[in-house]
This record gives sequence, structure tokens and C-alpha cells, in this order.
Amino acid sequence: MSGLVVWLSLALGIGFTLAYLFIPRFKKDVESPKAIFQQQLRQYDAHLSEQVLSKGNTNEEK
Amino acid sequence: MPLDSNSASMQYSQGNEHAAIDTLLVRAHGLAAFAALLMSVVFGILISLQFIWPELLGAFPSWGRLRYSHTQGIMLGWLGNAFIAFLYHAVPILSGRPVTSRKLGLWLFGLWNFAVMIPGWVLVLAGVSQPLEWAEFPLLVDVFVVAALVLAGVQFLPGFFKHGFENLYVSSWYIIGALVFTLLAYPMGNIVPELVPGPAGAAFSGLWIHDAVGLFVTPLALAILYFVIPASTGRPIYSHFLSMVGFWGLFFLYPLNGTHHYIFSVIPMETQATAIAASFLLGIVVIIVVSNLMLSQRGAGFIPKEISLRFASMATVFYLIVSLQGSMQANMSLNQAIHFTDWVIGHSHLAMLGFATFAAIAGLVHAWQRLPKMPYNPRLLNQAYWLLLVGISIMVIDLTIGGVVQGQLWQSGAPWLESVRQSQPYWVVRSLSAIPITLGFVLLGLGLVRGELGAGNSAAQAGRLPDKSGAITGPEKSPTTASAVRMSYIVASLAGIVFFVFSVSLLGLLPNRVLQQQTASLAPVSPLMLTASEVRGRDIYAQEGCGYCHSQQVRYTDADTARFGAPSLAWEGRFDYPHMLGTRRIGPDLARAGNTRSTQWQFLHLFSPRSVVPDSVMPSYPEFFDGSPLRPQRQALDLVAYIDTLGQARELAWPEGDAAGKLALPNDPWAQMSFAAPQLNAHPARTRRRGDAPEIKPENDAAVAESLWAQNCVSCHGPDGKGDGPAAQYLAPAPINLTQHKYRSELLADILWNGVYASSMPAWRDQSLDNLAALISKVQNFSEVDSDISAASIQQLRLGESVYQRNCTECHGLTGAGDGFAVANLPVPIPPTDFTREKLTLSESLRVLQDGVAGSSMAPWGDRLTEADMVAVSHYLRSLYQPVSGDGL
Repeated sequence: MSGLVVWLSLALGIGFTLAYLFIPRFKKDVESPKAIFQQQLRQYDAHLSEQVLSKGNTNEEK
Repeated sequence: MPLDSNSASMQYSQGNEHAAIDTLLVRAHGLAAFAALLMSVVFGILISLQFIWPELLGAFPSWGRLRYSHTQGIMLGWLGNAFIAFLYHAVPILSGRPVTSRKLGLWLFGLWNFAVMIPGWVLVLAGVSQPLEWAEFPLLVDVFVVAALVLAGVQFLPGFFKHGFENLYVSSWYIIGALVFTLLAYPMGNIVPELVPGPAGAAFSGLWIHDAVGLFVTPLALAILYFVIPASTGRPIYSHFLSMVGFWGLFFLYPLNGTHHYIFSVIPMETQATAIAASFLLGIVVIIVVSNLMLSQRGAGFIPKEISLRFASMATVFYLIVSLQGSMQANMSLNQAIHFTDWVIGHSHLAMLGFATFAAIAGLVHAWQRLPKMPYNPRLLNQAYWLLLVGISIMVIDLTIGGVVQGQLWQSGAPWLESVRQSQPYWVVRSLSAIPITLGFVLLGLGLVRGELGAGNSAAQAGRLPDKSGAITGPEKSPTTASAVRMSYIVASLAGIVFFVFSVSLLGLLPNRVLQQQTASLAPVSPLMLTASEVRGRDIYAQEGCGYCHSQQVRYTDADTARFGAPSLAWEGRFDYPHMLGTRRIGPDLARAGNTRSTQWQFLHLFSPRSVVPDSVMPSYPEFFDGSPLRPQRQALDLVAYIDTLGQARELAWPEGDAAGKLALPNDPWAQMSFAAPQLNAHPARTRRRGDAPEIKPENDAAVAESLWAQNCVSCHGPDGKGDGPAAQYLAPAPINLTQHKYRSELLADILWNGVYASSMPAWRDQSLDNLAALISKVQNFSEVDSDISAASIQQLRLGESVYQRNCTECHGLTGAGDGFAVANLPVPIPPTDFTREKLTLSESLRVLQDGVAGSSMAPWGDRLTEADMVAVSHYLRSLYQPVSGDGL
């Protein structure tokens, strides 16, 4: 049973890794969420800066 | 802290989406987290101080109840609230959508704090609890935890499923995984052990112990790290691929680790091997995760300037250490040496107070910095960081070293109390480490409620690094590969669920089946059920947290077999709902505690542990008595009745039961190892009948003897051996006044090796033979018998012999050797005095004859013999002594 755990984990990991290494588009798609997240953070921070610097924290709504 | 509706949420646009962060709920859960943290720290400090001053808190609340409150407070009160606070900040940003509803959030807040935390603490402190690690709140509270987890899922998860799996950032995956898998794992760990008995229940319990950390705490802490690090540096993480490998690796393997909490137990070896293999694999996965997190911080410096990033960075380091430590601990050689010791306590503090707490602080500070109009004091937060880092490091290093010392002593066979004595310096340092930790938490709280309004946002902006990650520009996708990514994530998600089911099957259901088969093959046909009193005693044992210091499993190791006896078989715990196997030993294992100590000793030990064991750190339970150990109330009677049942079923079945079992399961190596143990109950203090003792010659080593006497004997026999120690007044028969007795060395060796059967005088088999030799000499030196020069006339001796033959031979035998025909049937089976090897002063002999020996079968003869008869028989008894040349004095 422990062998099954090891081999199944390795098989899934190796399959994912091979696809990542040898299919460039796959690699790009796997990596894209980190860029999306960075955009989301920037949008939020931009809004926050605007709140703090331009409007003095007054644009808060329920 | 203002919580007015005007500052209750912050809305903004994210692309075409309209997100909103519910700042009211961020603050509410943040403040609740700090309140729970401070309460839990107070519980922890009180617990640790009781190791130094066991009587610190008097009778209530007991150590065990505080321990229950401490762990649940940290996991659910502090970390639970901190994680939820962070989710209110992070989920709208990650998903681009607000959480489901404010109303639902208020319900969740109310449930988590007013239906779980406060009632949980109140009930546990009142004695209503579950004796299960990380599941101490009672079942009633567990229902509300599950309801709260369902609400949390409804509140936080819907937004994630709007844009497809392939676009989910790793923090989102961790949040989804944590909420879904905790909902699956929590009932399994909290409810199943109530339905599945003994070691089979422990297998499920072990799953939860690890799932609580692996599926609840770790994923949410990692979600924070993957969120805070790129948000603080202003740069994307190093590799989303590695983060996903880590995510799936963790969710595949964490649930499979559970049984590594019960290595060397009766749980089948196949299950243990799976857990060990998964633990090692998990170490590799953690290295991948930590490498990715470290590379994501490159350029921020070893100690980042921005405070939330600094906490996140240290959390990453703690995560690496604690995870590798965990993998190593699953190694059977190391596990044999350090399991049950303070090493494990250090490990759990490194996990919960180091890794998880630093991550939770990183998340809270990060969210706090971005709340409008919030006070923020970077100087206080900086000081808090250093105090916490120093305090936690001291605590973990101290407990780790202390654990090694304890493990070494246990392996060496040294007396149990030696490990308690040697642990004292480490327990003092552990308590002292609470000073910087507490100060750190206080300054952290102050840093977030005092200071310049809005200063947090400036600090956050200043911490950003130049973004050099120009290579990845955005989410342009090819439909084909996006579909492939989606499919691989779906496959992995399904595999994660399969692995979870696999873990429950392999680590829970399979052991249950195997252990049931073992029980069916080995258990006696007529089960020995607990009486109502014993059941109540078991409940008291559970509610007072006795299991946190006393395990109830003799492990399949040489050290355990030598110290406690035959390793525990599954059927021995078949009526334990839930199991009492335990995960820590401060006191000795109690699986074979029945018939080991006298009932009087047990009462006295409960009433005032240090009156019988001077160096004990056990809490006292005077509330179980009516002012004296001689007046036990129902709780004491029930608890001692329960303790006397431990190991009793197998003792009653022995040796025929073991012989039959050996034939019934010839291919079960675990069971065969248990049957092959030299002794069923090897407890070193257990009293045994006389006869089997090694030859020990007295050695006059005054320094050693003095120390041994003070540590082990003075509480009963007093400093001068007069039988007037503080415990003496509560024991019957009373401890011997050794000044009035003289013993031959081999009799003393027998008494020290076997104890005095059925009395409170224990055996001292855990002492070295050299120590016993020093004690023999010490005891002989107390004797004043030789200075008693009372002489008897021939007539007196003849009269004495006549009186003896008429009245005493039934018990003391024809020659006075204590081997009369009635010995086997005495109402109290304490062996009669052997006058050929023990001599009393005349006055002591007369006293015993006059009054008898309370608590033994020696009746008073004052009303049946004349004064002259008693004097005569006393002289005769003294004449029976057969000294050995060169023996002792």
C-alpha cells in the first residue's frame, strides 16, 4: 500500500512536470495565475492609494 | 476600535468586476483572534508554571483542563479567527468578487466565537470535554464547528469558481482545499473515535491530529505566505508551477501522515509504514514549497524591512524546520528515542507558534495595513517581531534538548522520576521563554491599535521592490493548453479527494478491520466490563486530562517492554470509547497500572502527590476528598477503581490467554512480540511475592544513600527511618520504624526488589543494584536493635516458645520463618514477619503484640495474652534471629 502511495504521487508529479517542461504553452498557462494575481493586487493597491492620498479615506461605504 | 457602519466595507473595481472587502469583519475577527491568543497564552503560561510549582492553582481548574483550553484556543480561537480575518481581505482580491454576504459573515463570527470558543472553553474548564488531541472541545461544540465551516465555505468559496480552475492563483487553491478538506476531516477526528474503540479509534484520531495541522492550519498559513510575499514585494512569486506541485503534494500526502503519531503501537505495521513513507515524501514536497517561497523573496534581504513580509519570511523558515523535523520524527529509530518527550512539544510549538502564528501575523498585519484609517505603529511591531522570534527560538531549542534528555533516560531504564528531575531546568527555561513571547504578543496588539492613523499603508508601499518580472505579462491563453491545465487541475483535484479517501481507508478503516480481527482472535470469551464506578472513574480521567501526562499503550519497543511489560494488544482497549492511548508521557504509562500500587497509596497520591513522591509534578486533587486521603469522596473512589482496571483483563486471562493467543495468531508478528515479553506487567514499583531477588551486598556509600533516601523513602519512613514521614499517618500498615528492626541483607534485598506484597511499600526495580546496595546499608544503619540488650531467662524463653507454638505458627511457621500453613489464605496477603531474618527490639515487639498491625492480618493480642506471655514470646521471637557472619552491622 505504501508503494502505491509513493508511485501514484510520483506518477502525477512527473506527468505534470513533463507537460510543464516540454509544452511551452502549458508552462505559460500554468504560470499565468501569478501574473493575474499581481494585476489584482495592483488594482487593489491603486484603489487603496487613491483612497488614502487623494480622498483622505472618505470614500468608504457600507 | 471603531466598528461603525461607515467604515464597514471598502468597494473597488477589479477589471470588469466589482469587489468589496468587508473591513468590519476583518477587524472583528482580527480583534477576536488577539483576544483568544492572549487567553490561550495565559492558559499556556499557567500550564508551564505548574511544572515548576505544581500547587500553583490549588484545586481548580486542573492542569488537564487548562491544557485542553490552551490547544483549542490556539488552533480555533487564535489561528481560526486570524485566518478568517485574512480571508475577508484576501478572497475578494483573489476572486475579484465580494464574499457572499455581510449577514452570513456576522453569523459566522457569532458561531465561531459565541457558539464555539466561549462555550468550548467554559465547558472544558467545567469538565465537559473529549480526551482527544486537537479535538478537546465536546461533541456539542463540534456540531457548531462543522456548521461554521459550512458557513465559511458558503461565504468564501463561490467567487473562486467563476473564472475556471486554470486561472486560480495558488492561494485560492489553498483556501479552497483548507475549507473543503477540514470540513471532511473534522467530523472524522472528533466523532469517529467516539464510535470506534481503542487503537482503531486512535488510528482515526491520528489522522485528525495531522489533518488539523495539515489540512486546516498549514494550507491557510501557506495561502497567506503566497499572498503576502508577492503583495509585499510587489513582484510575482518565483514559480506558480512549483507552488502547484507543492499544493498537490501537500494535499496528497498530508492526510497519509496521521499514523506517524502512533508508531510502535498495535496499529498494523502496513499502516505505520505508509505513514512513514508519506512523511518522508512530504519532506521533499516541503523543500519544493519553501524553495519557491524563498526565491519569491529574493532581493528583500535576509530580514526584510517591511514587517508583514518579515513575519512571512520567518514563517517560511519555521515551516522548513518544522516539516523536516516532522519527517525525521517518523523515522523509527528517532521516533523510538524521542516520542512522548518534550521534543514533540517543542515540535508542535514550532508548528503552531512558530510557523502558523508568524504566518497568521503576516496575514493580519498585511490586511491591517490596508484598512482605512487604522492606527499602525511600525516600531512596536518591529519590537514584537524580535521578542517573538527570540522567545519561540528559546522555547523550541530548550524543549528539543529536554526531549533528548528525557528520551535517553527512558531508554536507559533509569527510574522514571529521574527524567522528571532532569527536566526541571528545561521546564524553567520554557516558562521563562513565555516572557518575551507574551511581551511580543502584547506589543504586536498595541502596534495595531496605537500609532499613526493610516501609517500602515505608507509602510506597505515603502516595502515594495522593483518588479523585474517582465517576462510574464498577463493571462493570454491558448484554448488548447488552457483546457489541458484545467484538465490537469481537475485530475489533481479528483486525485486529492481520492488520496483523502485513500488515507481514511488505509490509515483508518484498514487498521480498524485488522484490529477487529486481532481482537476477535485474542480477546477472552467473557468480556470484563467496567462497573458503573469504573466508568465514572474513566470519565474523570478523561475530563482532567490525565492522558496528556500518562499514555495507555505499552509500545512495541525494548525500552517499553522492559519498563512496563508486554506491549498492548488491540483487545485490551476494546471498550475504550474514545481511546486513551495518549501522545505524551510526563508520568509513566498506565496501561498496566492495575494491581501495581495499593489503594491507599493511590488515594494519597491523588490527594497530595508530593507526600509520597517528593519530586512529582503531578497536580493534586484534594477536591476529590473530604479533607483527608482517608476520606475519599466518590470521585476518588471511582478514579482509583478505574486505574485498578488498567491491564486487569489481560492479567486475569494470563498465562492461559497469552498461550492460546500465541497459537491463534502465529503469523502476526506484532502479537507474537507482545506474547514474547518476559513479563506481562513489568512495572518496577509493582509489589511481588517474596523469593526472586538478586544477591545484593550492602555497600556503605553514605552520599548516594542519603540522596536516594531523600528522593524515594523519606516521605513514608521519615528522615531518620522512624516511619514518621508525612505520608505515614495515612498508610495502613504504617511504614516500618526502621530503628526498631534489624534485617539480614538478603531479606532487605528481597523487600527492595519485590516490595512488600499487597502493601504500600513498592518495589524499586528501576534502581541500579549499586543504589539498592547503598540503601540496604542505610537501612541497616538505622537499626538500634543491637543496642537492645534485654536478656531473657530460660523460663521466659520456654514460656515464649509455648505461647508461640499455640498462637503464632499458623502464620509465622514452626521455625518463625513466616511460612505457616495459613499464609496462602490470609485475608490481607501481606507476608508475615520472618523472625529468622528480621529482629525487633523488645519494646517494638511488645507494641505489635499489644496493638496488632492495622491494615495487615496481624491481630492485636493484648486482650488474649498476659503481659508475661507477651514479654516471653517477644524474647523467644528475638532468639529466632539467625545472623550471618559479616552481614551489615
